[in-house]
Parts: sequence; structure tokens; C-alpha cells
Amino acid sequence: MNEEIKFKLQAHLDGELSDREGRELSELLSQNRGAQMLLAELNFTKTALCGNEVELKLPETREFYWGKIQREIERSGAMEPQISSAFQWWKPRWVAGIASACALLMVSFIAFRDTANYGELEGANGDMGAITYHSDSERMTVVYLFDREAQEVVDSN
Amino acid sequence: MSTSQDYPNTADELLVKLAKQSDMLAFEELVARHRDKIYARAFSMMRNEDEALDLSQEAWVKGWQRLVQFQGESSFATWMTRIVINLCLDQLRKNKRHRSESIEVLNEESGGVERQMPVVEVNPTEGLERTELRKRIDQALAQLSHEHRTVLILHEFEDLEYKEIAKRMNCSMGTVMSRLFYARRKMAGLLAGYKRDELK
Repeated sequence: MNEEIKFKLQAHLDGELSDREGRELSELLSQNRGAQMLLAELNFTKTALCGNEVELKLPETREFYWGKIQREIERSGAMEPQISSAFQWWKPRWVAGIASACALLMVSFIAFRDTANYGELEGANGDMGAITYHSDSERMTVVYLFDREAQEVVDSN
Repeated sequence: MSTSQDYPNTADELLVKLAKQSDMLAFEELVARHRDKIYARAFSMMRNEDEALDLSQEAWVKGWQRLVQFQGESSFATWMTRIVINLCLDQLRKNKRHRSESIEVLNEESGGVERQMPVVEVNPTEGLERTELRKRIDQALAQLSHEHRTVLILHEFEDLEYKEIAKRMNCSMGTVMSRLFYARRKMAGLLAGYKRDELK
């Protein structure tokens, strides 16, 4: 009997064979005494183990055992069950995305402010200055607010 | 969290819910309730009391940290058992790296002496009292290699299918089938040996 047949006998015992393979093996079993004996031996072990694992008791008191777990939880700083890994995956990316968008907005504003392309810019009067940039082609409006007095100080320097 | 909660008389499901809301007392009750089972699984795989203690405690810390991921598809005890099994498998892999590639290791898949072993024809456990049977099974399991013992534990005690065992042990289905086959044959031989000793 080759190993493939032996392993199939075992798979048959464990209910891991397809119906077709099971039928083929049943035919072999009906004609092969060695296969029948091997299947019986495999079954002895399977049956003996089923539900007969030795029961063990922890060799430490409840307080001592829990104390170490509690200290480790406190040491790791995880005093609350942590958020799921999926959330941890997207959270930094989300924050990074917002930061990138803000940075891009600032860079765009500075670039437009320096180009003196005021055909598309509008100023605002009063203590608070405001510049609005609007682009039809890009379907975008950006409003930048600033302290006019502070701006004058910078300009005079 | 509620101080009036009667933790010892609270069902696992509610304790888990409370623990998810950072109730450490609820989690402690879960630990007290299932600690023997988790420790026993770690010991059955490692066969070392100190390692089993450390790994079981590490499993509880991980259980607390990952509690929000527990959705109740299985029982809490089963979920915790899976965590400790994974930790034990990781530890066994680390231990194996320190072992030399001996003939014994190579025999895990090819069967070694079990290939030549005659078939055990009479059930070696027939008529045994349950306590004695459990003792002999434990004695025989202790004599198996880590690989053979692990595959038997995962299949016979944890009811995992070949595919799931292969995934957890990071090996092929063929390797699982081979290890399980030779582990069973070796167990049969060991149990038959104890029977012979008893009759002498």
C-alpha cells in the first residue's frame, strides 16, 4: 500500500474525502485486509483521543496570575481595548491626506499671491484683509483672510 | 464602570461587552473563568510549565488589546484558545530555529520508524477507566515531537480541518496529512506498549 492510499484512508476516517473518492476507497477497503486493519488502528487513536484530554489546573492563585496580566496591560499603555486594526490602518492615512491638502492649498495661495495675477483676485476693505481666488476652469474658489495691519508691517520691512 | 455588577453570575457575552467598555473587573472575571483552559492548551503544546504560564498570560494581554475585534462568531473561550495556540505556534517556530536539522526532524514528515511499525490489531485502550485513559494519552502525547503533538491537538482537540491546520502551522495540506498519519501511528504504538507493560 503506498502512502497516497494510506493518507486517503485517514482522510476517509476524518471525513475529508469527496463522495467520489470515498466510493473508490470503500471498494478498495472491501478487498484489502491490510487497508481494513490500518483503518481500524487509525480509528483506535482517533476514538481514544476524542474528549479525553487531560484536565489541568493553573498552578497559580487567581490574584497572582491576574496581577501579572494587569501589570502588563498597564505597562503596554492599553488601558482600553484598542481600536480595530482596520481603523488603525486608515487613520494615519486620513490625517496625512488632510495635511497634504492643506499644504497644497497654502502653496497654491502663495504662488498666486506672488504672480500678481490680480485679474482673478479680489481684495476686501477694513481691518481684516481678504483675497479671493476663483478659477472657472478648475471650478475652485479660495478665500484667504489676513490681518491688514500685520501685513503692512511686513511690507514696510 | 458599574460597581453593582454581579460579575461571577454574569454571562460571558455581557462580560465581554463590559470589558469592551474598559471594565477591567469584567475582564478579570473572564480570565478567572477560562484561565485553566487557556493554560492547559499552552501546556499541552509546549510541555513546559514556565513557557505555558508566560504564553497564557501573554494571550490574555493580547485578548484585552484585541477585544474590539471579537464579534462573537465563536465563544469567547474558543476565541481566546485560538490566540494562545497562535502564540504557542510562534514560540515553537522560534524554538525550532535553535534546533539542529537532525534525523529526528527529517522524520516528522517521512514517518521514521512508524513506517515499519506493524499495525496494532487490538484496541489498546479498550476497557480502561477514563482517568487512566486520559493519563496514558497525556503520557503518550508527551513522547511525541512538537510537530506530531501539535497536529494531533489541533485536529482531535480543537476540531480543526486539514486546511485550517495547514494555514496555522504554515505548511502544506500534504504535510498535515503526513504528520497526522504518523502521529496517530506512533500514538497507537505507544498506547499498545503501555498495555503490554500492564499485562506483564
